[in-house]
Amino acid sequence: MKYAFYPGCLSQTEQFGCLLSARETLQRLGLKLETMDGSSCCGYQSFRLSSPITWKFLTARNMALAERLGLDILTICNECNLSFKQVKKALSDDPQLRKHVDEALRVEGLEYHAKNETYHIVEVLHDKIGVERISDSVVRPLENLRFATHPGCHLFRPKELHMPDEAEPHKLDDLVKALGAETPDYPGKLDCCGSSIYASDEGSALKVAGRKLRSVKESGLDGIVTICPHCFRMLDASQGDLEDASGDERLRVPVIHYTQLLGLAMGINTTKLGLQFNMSPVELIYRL
Amino acid sequence: MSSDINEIEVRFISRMLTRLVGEMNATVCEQCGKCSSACPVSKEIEGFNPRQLIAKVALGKIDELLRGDAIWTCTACLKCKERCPEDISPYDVILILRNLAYRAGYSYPAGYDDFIKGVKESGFISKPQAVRIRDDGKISRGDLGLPEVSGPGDLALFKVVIQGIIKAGREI
Repeated sequence: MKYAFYPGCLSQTEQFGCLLSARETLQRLGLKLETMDGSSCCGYQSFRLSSPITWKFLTARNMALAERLGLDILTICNECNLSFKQVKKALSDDPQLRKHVDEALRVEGLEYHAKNETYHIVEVLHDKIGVERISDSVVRPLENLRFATHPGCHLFRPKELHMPDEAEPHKLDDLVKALGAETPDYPGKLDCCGSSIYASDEGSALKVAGRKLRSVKESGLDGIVTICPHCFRMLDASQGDLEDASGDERLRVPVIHYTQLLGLAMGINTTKLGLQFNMSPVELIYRL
Repeated sequence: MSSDINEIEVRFISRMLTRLVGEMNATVCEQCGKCSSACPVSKEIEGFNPRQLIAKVALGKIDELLRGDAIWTCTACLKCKERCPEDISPYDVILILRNLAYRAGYSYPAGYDDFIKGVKESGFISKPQAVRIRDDGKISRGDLGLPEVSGPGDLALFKVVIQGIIKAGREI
């Protein structure tokens, strides 16, 4: 299996733990990841608000680059994945938009023919590689650990776009269980982490994240497993700010990206998985 | 900041939006409040309420919304849209209001401009940073043996294309 690898802005520029662990584990599972030379931001975070057409052009440009490689896209970001799916539909529904985008693509010698698909890492792990093969790769089963899974909103919403995990998300849970851990339900599991307003309204974003962390703590679980770099950053890195804002130390809870957890179960060393970058007390998980 | 549209256009779009949501309200939205009770932001932030927001649009209080903070507090989680029994989407209305506020040059969060600047300068929302680790210190991509970020290639050409499509968007 070979994909055009599209990590997205956040893991490329600052969330190196997500990037390192995804590359390491996917390659060990036999995937070939082709670098997308010439790629850029998908536009979702940057231009969707000020210039929707520029957002759609940027996503189309990345799809065109992958098409030139003759490959489907694998993204590790929930937001990029949503962007690719929304824009693919918009381009097929709106000939006027398509005309403008095609014109702009031609300036760089690119063409878009809607030939490739975009897959989120959850789809590749769960549906393509399969839970059984992932289970077989485990050398250190994560027994006696109970995690709160946080799939992230755009893994399953909006339902009309047939997102990777549909309306009743279970794939991240299946993938965690394949490593030997349990994933009990907890209040607010499918609620947002607050990350998308982090840049515009940090105070409110922290309050929304705090609600999630409190729920996990009160449920007595060992940590949070997420698979989106945005959710990961919000839940992991915001704990210090939250503590400063609320004076509440009880909100400290380990947060780990799924491919970091997978890597631990596969016996990969913590540095290769970028666990030094997690700001939450993640050693509580792997020292158990 | 400069604005793409003038006051008259804002008033025109506002009236259209009010009429649109007003029609939705008259025929389908019963102000049942399922959106607000589902909203994870409403639970934490006083004054953020998707049901009220829809009511305000229907009453034509667009200017108040465009000048206020509420439209910038939605996390775009889409739960309101999922829960609405009539398939109305407060989220989509908020997106329209955000776009309108931006284009009309009303106040908007500075964080978004940083992202735009980042993409124009490097192709991504920011340049790769040296990142803090849990123990003291910072580490960069190079230290990790990761390849350089492959940017958009010819950056000057990329910028020209971006400027061109932004301009095309204003003229549609």
